[in-house]
Amino acid sequence: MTAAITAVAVVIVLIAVAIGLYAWRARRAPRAPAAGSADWTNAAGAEFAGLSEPARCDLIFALAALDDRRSLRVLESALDDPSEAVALAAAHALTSRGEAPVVDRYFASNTGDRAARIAGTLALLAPEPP
Amino acid sequence: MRTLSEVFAPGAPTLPEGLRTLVVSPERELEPGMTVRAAFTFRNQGGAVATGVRVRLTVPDGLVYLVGSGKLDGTAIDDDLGNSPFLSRGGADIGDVLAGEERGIEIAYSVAGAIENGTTIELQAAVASFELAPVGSNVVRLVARSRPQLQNALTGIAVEAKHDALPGAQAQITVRLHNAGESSAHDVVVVAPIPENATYVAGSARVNGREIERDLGGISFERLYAPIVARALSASASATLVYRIRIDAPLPDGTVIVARAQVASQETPAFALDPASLVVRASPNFDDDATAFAAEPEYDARPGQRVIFTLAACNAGTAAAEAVRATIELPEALVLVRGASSVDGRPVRDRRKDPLHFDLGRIDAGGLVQLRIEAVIASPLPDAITLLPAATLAWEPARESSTRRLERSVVIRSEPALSARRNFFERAGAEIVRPGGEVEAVVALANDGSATASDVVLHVRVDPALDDVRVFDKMTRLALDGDTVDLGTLEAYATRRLSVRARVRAPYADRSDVRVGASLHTRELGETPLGDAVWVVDSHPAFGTETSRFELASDAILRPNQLADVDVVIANTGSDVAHDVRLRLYVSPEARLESVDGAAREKSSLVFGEILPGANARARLGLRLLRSLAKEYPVTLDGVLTADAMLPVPLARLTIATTAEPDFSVGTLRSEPLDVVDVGEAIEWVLHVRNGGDGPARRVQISIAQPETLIYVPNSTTVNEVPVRDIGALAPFAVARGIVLNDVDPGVEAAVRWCDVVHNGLPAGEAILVAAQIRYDGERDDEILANELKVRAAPVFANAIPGLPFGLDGMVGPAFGGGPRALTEERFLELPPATPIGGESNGAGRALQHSNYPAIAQAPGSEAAESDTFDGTLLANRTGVSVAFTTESLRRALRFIDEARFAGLVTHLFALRAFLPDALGDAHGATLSALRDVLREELDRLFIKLRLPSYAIAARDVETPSLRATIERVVHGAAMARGIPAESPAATLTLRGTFDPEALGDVGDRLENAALAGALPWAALARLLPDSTPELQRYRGLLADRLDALAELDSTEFLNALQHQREAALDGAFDDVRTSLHRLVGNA
Repeated sequence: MTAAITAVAVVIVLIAVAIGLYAWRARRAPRAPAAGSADWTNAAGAEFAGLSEPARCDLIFALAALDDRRSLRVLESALDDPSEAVALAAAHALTSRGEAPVVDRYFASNTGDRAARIAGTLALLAPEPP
Repeated sequence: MRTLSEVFAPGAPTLPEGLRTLVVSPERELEPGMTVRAAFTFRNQGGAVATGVRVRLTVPDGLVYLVGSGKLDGTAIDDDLGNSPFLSRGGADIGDVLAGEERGIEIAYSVAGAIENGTTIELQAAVASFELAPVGSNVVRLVARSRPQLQNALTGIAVEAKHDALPGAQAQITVRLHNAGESSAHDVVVVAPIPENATYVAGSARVNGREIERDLGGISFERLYAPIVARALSASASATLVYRIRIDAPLPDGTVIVARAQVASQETPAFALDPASLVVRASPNFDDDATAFAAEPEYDARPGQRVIFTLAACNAGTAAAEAVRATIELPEALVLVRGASSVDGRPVRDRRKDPLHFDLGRIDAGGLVQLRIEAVIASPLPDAITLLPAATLAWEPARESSTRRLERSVVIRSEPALSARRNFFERAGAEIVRPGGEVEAVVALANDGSATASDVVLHVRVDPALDDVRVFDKMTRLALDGDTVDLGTLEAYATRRLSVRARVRAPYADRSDVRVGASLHTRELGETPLGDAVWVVDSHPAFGTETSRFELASDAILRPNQLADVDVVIANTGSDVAHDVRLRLYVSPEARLESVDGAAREKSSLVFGEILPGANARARLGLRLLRSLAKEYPVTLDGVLTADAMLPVPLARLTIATTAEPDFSVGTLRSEPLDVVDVGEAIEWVLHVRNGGDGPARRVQISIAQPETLIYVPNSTTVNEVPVRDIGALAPFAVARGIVLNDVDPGVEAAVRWCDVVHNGLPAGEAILVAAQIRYDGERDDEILANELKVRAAPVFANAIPGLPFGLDGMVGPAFGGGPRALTEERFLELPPATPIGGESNGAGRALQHSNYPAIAQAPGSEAAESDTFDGTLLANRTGVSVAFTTESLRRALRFIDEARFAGLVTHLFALRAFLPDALGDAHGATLSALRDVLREELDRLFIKLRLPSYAIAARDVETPSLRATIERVVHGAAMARGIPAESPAATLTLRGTFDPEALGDVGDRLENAALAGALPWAALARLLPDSTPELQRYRGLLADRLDALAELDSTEFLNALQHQREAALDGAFDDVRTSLHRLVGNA
């Protein structure tokens, strides 16, 4: 009789542990990378809609030199560009403007291979520390 | 901030004038159809390249883009669907504008054909780039100059009557106003007085279909002078003033109504329009409905009937008619009734000549005269024909229209008539007919009507008893289609007589009625019965010996006891039914009637009952030939045919051939014992013979030869158990005559028995053969053989015989006359009846192969390596360079150049970025730091772009003016530098090198005139690379040589080399450098 009660208790404990592990993993599950869109160019002006990838890179590098909130928002949106190179350009532009925290927040909220590759390449391009 | 797409949106304020470089021609005023040219230039006043530059121009209302006129820097720009990109919402993308560069666009417009005078047109251009918000040009304002034009070919007046220009009629006056100018006409007025001899129709004035009297204060149009008919008449627009007038009555013929008008506006002085006129006509008139020509009756008028014609002449015109005359025209079918004509109810004088011409005199306007005549319709006439009488009125004054002809139609109703009195069908000839005889009837036709009878068809109802029906018209045979004859038409008052002939069918029943009827069908009258003709048939049955007979079913000869099938065929060749038909049979005694099939049998008679005319009756008789028939006596069959109301008819005799013959071919001759017999043993023979034929045998001789091997037992012969005496010492069958049997009927058997003893002296194995010879009727001779008997014999030596009290030399023989008989007592044997017999590794692999050069000249452990400093040899007139790394920074640099391996020479630009010295000579210049930063910025962007698939390197990716300026400063500084750099205390690895400052200075001089994006700046930087190791030295030398060689190329070719050219030796040298440095980092 005692052995049976012990067995039931062990089973209940195992089930509880399994549920706890599942909940813990679900809470820490990485976010799927955002489905990228090139519509962010509309924020720069309707005439910039539908730009090619090289033109989007050029637009980003041009905005990198500006120092206003609007261009910052545009660059931030460009991090979600479907082209990894364009997103890298945006991250590079933001870092060059001194907006590295923005990029870090992006990497924190967007994990995955794509973000890791962008982060790795961005680190390669970072200037030498003084 | 507004985008370029928003700046020229409708209702948006104009852009601030940032550039005053928009030039428009003309400058102040423009006129419709004129061409307006706009030129806009702008310069990049800043120090950086403006990328993604777009330019846009406005398209104000009133201006239309002249297709194909857009130009950029003097070069035509392709239009997009007929519109210039400069005028599109997003403007035209003109690429990058370098610092200090000036660009210009041109475009042309056309002024619209209609534009209001004083209209202001504003033109502005705007330019924007990736980096810059839209900047507007100066706003150019132009004023349009135009005027209206009312006096033109489309402005005029017209007057026209609604129907005819008659006194009292209405006419319409139309004043059309058209503005043929480029701007609106304001306050357009029209002076349009009511013409003389006419009055205004109240409320009829309209402008563009809209009443104007209410807009003019309710005052009648005729009382206004110069009313404003249009407040504004736009360019190319029209307005129409319409009003009606009524022509005064009466008026003289030819009076002219003249309409006049004048037009003016604020911009146009008054001018008169060309007058329009209308001529009034007045005359007598008989054209209205009051003037008529009538007929009574007009429809269904029948031949012979009287028709009354009335001519009413009413002058509905505006003048009196003089000398009015009426002429009546009657067709031939209408005959005038003389003396019955009257004018206004009074009889007119009968004129022998021209009785149909009447003088009616003068008829005033509105006056009426009536003429009445009568006519009779002639007969015959076709039905539904239309007669066209006419009346002609003539009057004065004589003009083209001073006569009028009036026609009237009279529709005739006419039809044929077929009276029973003259249209009938009757028999011709005797009433009694025989089957096969011909009958004839007559058809009489007469049309007593006034019209032709059409589609005349004679229907003949023929009795089924008749065949071969024919219809004749006199001697001509008419085609009979079924029971109808198409007779075509029967003219009015015409007669026809036809005969119908037919043949009575044979046979046919006696006393039958044969009836033929006829009727006539016409389109007008329908069916008309003509009556019937009747005949009575006289008919009887008949039988002949040719058609009624006996027939033997088979040709085989009849044998006794066999059946012979005989067919009886009875045919009624008469024309009536034969009742109670019987056939009495007479069969010869040798045969017997056994069966009848197909008729009832009453004793020796066959009953067939009724046989229709032409019908046959057939019966099959079964006759059996009796057994007692004498040979070759034929059987005969006779018959007599009887029926009601007919004489008896004997049929032809039928003789049936017969045959019968005896047959003794089948019999047995048996012995007992059957196969083997001992010598001295008795044999009992029995001969069975039987008349197996079908005829009796008159005489049968049975002879049997006695063989010598046997000894006959006297008086042992019996026939059918009846003893027969021997003849002498011979058996009765052994004599020549043998045993003779007489009258042996078919099936009768005879059994002849006798006994023999086997001769004792026969040897063993001897065969005994006995044969019986049967001859009968002198013709047949049959033989019957017995089985072959074998003689058995054995030696015997003892002579003691049981039963004997003594010995006996001899053999015990058979005991005759007291022993049991061997054969059974059966008298007869059953005999058969007497019946007839049916991958490759690339240059990179070379990397450490070259480490035959030691990867680092100073191998680990060497003195130099210990200090991690690699010195180049400082020669005279050379300046030293150095680049210091920490372990981490060198590792990062190596990772960077590992990542920056692209196809083409561009890889080596990234090598220059990685190994650019940070110290030149003994002075630590700031220009190097600036160059490092600019170079990093530019090449990092290029590094990113090269990660795009199929990216084509652009000039600005390689070199910008700021980069060129920085390089120039560094090169000039280097040319001036001397000494070697001091060591960096923080560095763990320092790569050193030297260069010839003078040579570098020459390159720097050439650099001032070199175009952007060429190889020369990079060739200069290559000379600054460290060369403290053999790998670095070799690499620097090869790179500098290669870039020097490319320095002569223009930017396009250099870019192509960067993108696509590979040089194995150079790449190998670079790999050697990387390998050596990697090894060093690994050791660290």
